[in-house]
Amino acid sequence: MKAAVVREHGAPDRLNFETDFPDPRPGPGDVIVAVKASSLNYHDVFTRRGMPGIKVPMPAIMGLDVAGEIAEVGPGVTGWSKGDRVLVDPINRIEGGLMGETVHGGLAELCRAKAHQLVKIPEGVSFSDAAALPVAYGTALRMMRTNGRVAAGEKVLILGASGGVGVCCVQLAKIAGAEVIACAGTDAKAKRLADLGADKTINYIEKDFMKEVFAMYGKPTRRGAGTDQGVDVVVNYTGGDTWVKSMKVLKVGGRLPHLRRHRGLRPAGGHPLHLDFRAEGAGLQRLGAQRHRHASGDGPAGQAQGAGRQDL
Amino acid sequence: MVQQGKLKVLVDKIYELEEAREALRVIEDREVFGKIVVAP
Repeated sequence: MKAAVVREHGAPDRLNFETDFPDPRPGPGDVIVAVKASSLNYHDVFTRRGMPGIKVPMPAIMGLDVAGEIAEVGPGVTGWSKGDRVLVDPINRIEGGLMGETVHGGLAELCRAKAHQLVKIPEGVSFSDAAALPVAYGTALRMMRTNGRVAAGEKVLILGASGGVGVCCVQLAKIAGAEVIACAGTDAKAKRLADLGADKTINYIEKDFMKEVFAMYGKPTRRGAGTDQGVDVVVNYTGGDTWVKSMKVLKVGGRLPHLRRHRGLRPAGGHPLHLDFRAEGAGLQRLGAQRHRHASGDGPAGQAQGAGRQDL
Repeated sequence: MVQQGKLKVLVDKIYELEEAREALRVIEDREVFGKIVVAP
């Protein structure tokens, strides 16, 4: 089959188009999906480069988000037939494994998945729209709802708002009734974010987002008049140097949803991790975007299994 | 939400499988607005 293959970690040229990759065969409980759409995420960049502590079997086929038609049904699979339009939950929640990382993903004509990872794609939802959802929109759903609990009237600052997660965060925060401040690297992107519903935008290349937020909402302080200043939530999946500024613009008790796999918790200039804990002592809540055990039924699986199935 | 039209799925561009390297490059270089899809 045709596939985009990574045979060793490294630079962009390690991802290569191949025409004779072996077709996957279905084992018990498997289906083979004829891939119609696979969306990419920054996670795939990390997978290609290689990340410390994560062993990716080679050769690898990336693509966590897979949508397509069932081409073949393996032994023991019931309830699914050839031709069904399906979306694959990227995480195998029974045997373990992650599409596009530890098992082959969607950057190929065919893809093997467990039948229990499948979600039927409803009428009226295209393959490409379905494939865009699980990782990015699932992450945004957890950041804004499950973990972030964004409420009406809150001020939500979204860094990197133009990415796949960001554009969904902007919309979900607006649906929740929040006031959204979206950061973008170009004026053109800022304009599109405003069109999407962002109340205010900041071009973070031209301006310091921290100073801009101070100008808009005041500088938060732990005591006195400043306790009501700043923003309630900062969505940060950038990491690095933005951590310190993100914390400085947060109100006391503010929330900082972030990802586990970003460019590091340690900002340049020396402040190590203890900054986070010190800030937590000051009332900051650091919230991951991962699915917590108590939050079942949401997330990429949520797209798939519970509330998300309706949400699709 | 998507099916009901409450939530927009923003697919910036759809690439062929042959263009996967370029598709990943635009994500890596932050040239994207929304999602990038590869359609084999």
